[in-house]
Amino acid sequence: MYTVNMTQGVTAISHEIYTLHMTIFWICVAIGVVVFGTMFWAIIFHRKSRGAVAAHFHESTKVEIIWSIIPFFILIAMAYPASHLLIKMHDTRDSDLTIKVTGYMWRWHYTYLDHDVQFMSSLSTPYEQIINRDVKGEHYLREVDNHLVLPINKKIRILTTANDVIHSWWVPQLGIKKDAIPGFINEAWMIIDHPGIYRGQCAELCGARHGFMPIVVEAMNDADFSAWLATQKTKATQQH
Amino acid sequence: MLQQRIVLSGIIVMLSIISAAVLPFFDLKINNSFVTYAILILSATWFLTYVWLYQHKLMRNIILSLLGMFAFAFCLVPLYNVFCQVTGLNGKVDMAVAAAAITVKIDTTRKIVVEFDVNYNEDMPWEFKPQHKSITVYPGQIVRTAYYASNPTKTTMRAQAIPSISPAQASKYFKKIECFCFNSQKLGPRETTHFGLQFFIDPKLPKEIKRLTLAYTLFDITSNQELKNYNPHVTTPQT
Amino acid sequence: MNNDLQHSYAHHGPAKGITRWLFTTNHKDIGTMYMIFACAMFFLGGILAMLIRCELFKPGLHLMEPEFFNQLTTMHGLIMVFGAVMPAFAGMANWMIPLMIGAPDMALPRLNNWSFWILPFAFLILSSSFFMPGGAPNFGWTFYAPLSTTYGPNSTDFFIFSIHIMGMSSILAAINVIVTVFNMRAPGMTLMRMPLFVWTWLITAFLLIAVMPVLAGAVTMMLADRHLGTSFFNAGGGGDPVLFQHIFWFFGHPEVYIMILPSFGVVSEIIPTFSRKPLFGYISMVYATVSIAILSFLVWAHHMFTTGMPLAGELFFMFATMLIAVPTGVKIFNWVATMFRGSLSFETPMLFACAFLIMFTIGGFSGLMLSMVPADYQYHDTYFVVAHFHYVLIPGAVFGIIAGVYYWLPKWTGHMYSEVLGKTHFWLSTISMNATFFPMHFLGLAGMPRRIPDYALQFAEFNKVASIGAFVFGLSQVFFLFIVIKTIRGGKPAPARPWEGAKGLTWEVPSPAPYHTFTTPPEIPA
Repeated sequence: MYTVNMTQGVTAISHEIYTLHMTIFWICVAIGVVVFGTMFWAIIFHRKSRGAVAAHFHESTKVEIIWSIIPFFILIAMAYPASHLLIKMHDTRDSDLTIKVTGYMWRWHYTYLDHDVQFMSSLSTPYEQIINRDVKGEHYLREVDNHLVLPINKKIRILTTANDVIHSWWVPQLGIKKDAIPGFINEAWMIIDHPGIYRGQCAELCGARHGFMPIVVEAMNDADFSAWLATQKTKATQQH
Repeated sequence: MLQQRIVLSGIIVMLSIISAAVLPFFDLKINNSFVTYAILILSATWFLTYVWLYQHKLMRNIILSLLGMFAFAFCLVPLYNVFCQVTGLNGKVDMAVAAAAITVKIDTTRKIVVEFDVNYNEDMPWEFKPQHKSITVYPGQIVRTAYYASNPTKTTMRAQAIPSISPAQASKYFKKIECFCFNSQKLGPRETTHFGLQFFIDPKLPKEIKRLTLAYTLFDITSNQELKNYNPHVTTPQT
Repeated sequence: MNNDLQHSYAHHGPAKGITRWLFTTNHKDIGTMYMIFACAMFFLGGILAMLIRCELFKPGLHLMEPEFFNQLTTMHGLIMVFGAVMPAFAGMANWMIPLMIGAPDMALPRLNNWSFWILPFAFLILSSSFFMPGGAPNFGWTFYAPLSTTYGPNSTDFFIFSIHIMGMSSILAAINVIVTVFNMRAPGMTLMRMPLFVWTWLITAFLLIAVMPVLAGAVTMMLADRHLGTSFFNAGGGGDPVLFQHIFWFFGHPEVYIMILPSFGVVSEIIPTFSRKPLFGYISMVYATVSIAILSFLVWAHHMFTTGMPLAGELFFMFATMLIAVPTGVKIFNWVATMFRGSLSFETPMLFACAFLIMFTIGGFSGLMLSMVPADYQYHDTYFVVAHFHYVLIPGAVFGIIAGVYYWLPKWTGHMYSEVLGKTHFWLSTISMNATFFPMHFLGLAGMPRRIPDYALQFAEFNKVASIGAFVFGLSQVFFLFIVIKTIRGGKPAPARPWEGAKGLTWEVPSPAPYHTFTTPPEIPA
């Protein structure tokens, strides 16, 4: 596939991240057009082979001030929406559901803290596919045995930690990437707008199989989620 | 001149012997005789180097600076403890927390939900469960809770619980008066116990924070000799 | 030095045989050795990169175990950063600084010899780790704890030792540069009349002295955690893995400026020469470089935005990082203004310098995007970052080195390189470099993380393009080596000033530069 851009994602925050990304990108393109345009103009029209004779100017305090001040103001203009969004992303209050995510070498463990449900989530791609003995499936390296099932339209608080080394929990479509650090907990939040399956990967080198510990989030409406949760709890009590 | 300097060096040696003798009176919980010998050896080396290299000033000054740097780095271990006790950093001064606990006013206008979570590091086999999964408290209120711990193995093990609080801004308002995480904890084979935790939340906690999570990660430090003696907290006076 | 001494050197010349190189205190010899060493390391690191791109050519594990892949990525980074780029610029500093300031040699010639000679030992130790039980270091060139402390292979300790040695080499070389520049400029060569290459190296030297000890501290704390029972980076003993990141990146960020500032200097020599116009805004360029250097100490945590920093910290580091764009932009504008209304010709050094301008700026743009924290949550530890730093490092640092080599080869060897071959090398390198690294922006945005040996199917197409580009780029550099060796062995004789627009003391001495130059201080015109 020739995907060239970031996903807009399925949360309000991921959409805002995308907008910020595109805004900065276009500002950079504009600056690039001006700078490279000037350069290419010089390359074409100020060549010696074209008969150009060198001018003698080599300094101008006025110009230096101008092209320091203008970029500075452009930066302030960029910083404003970025800071605004960042402040929003740090606000983890009033969540409806808390999930503890623990990174292990090399799989993820999820605990629904308020509900006493927990399970491991490991890569489910068959080894034969990895060593090229079998045709690779559609979700090669991004499929797991147990999905992290979550409700839509609810504020979900994710607490990350790790069992051994630093891992990082990243699902692009949810706009979340948070390091999982052994001995410490980190916090992030999301409100998923649409049901669906969203895939991510570990984003911090954690050893040999760092590339083989994906994340699969399955978001569903509240009723289905409650039903799923009930079956998980039954399974849990049966195991005890 | 030489005489003057020999006398000066001699004074340094005397001072170091005296400080070594006085050390036990500062309860630094370090191996005092080890430090004594170290100080003696370092100052003796300094003195000898000074005399031996009296002729070669540059060489002498370089070697003495080297010894000085080494001595400084060496002394950093006890110096660190002294520094933290004096400034109260790293929660080393429980006296202040315990005192504050008695005088702080309970704020009944708001409630804070405190969640308790447990994590295990690597293959830590102990079972560790909070008595309450969460408690709702008033800021300023002194709260007592406990953790149940069990060592299911056949060997005596030592664990260190490391706390972490989320959101991070809340951590400096969460005051532990007494916590099993202050010291390493030992459990014999198949032994179970309850560990106590006593805390209060400083009413200065920002108004936006209404819930915080206290997570402990349990580390197995049975084989780590240095950590066995790691007791960062001054013992709390019995109240 | 008086004429008698100069006379006696003319009779003796440099020593013969291997002892010439082992015991030399001559800045030209030492500069040459640094650059040959850097070239060898560049190819070693390049071979590792080729192996990486081979494995990543298609989805699936083909050539190696994932664990070995991690060794390759780690060693590729370490060797390129510490073995190729830094020694190459140190070599250029040695060769060119005395020539540019009219000094007979560096201030501390014996120290200079040791600064170089400990490097082959350090890298022998580091490279031999591939053959040790447990393999080479496999935790990334950034060697985060606790992966490196608790789970590092046995070779980790050799890696630490090697870093110490290499760090010492850099610190001693930096001291040499500072002492030389402050004390041995010819009379009349004030600081504000020095070529910009000397300025950028002077500032780089201060950066090196400030941060290499921090790296030494980080690896020593790592060693202590591994073997002395400390817990700096182990939460179980009261420490914090994130502490490692703070210490490492406090070194790491100035380190990347250490790698680019000399390149700024090289380009600042080349562009005025081939524009036949003085560098625009010399004073401004000096101040901009100083600002970049100072600011580089204030931005380290922009590598750590996902670690769970408090909001105030993230805001501060975002603003500080964005701020670096201002002096950097000023420099770019000054270079373009130098070209504008000049009389331009495009010999190979100028081609590489122009490619530097364009593509380093592109790398700068992706850097600006990375500094926006909310967006960085999507970019961090993905191929977007890999694209960013390869754009600032290859067109930035490496093309600066290559441009400098082409520019100064006539002075070093006395022969002109073949312009046709040089231009071919340029176009091959530029096109293949873009083919390799531009798609990586897309891969990162599409969701591909870093440091993975195998990837999901949607990343296959761009990975294939990148791998092909990488193979062509690698071959192009073999071509470059051929050009350089060919030029050393012969070519059109080069005059003292092979480039019409070149100015400065360097071009007063013959080509090839005599073994001893400026044994008497030159006259600097007022």
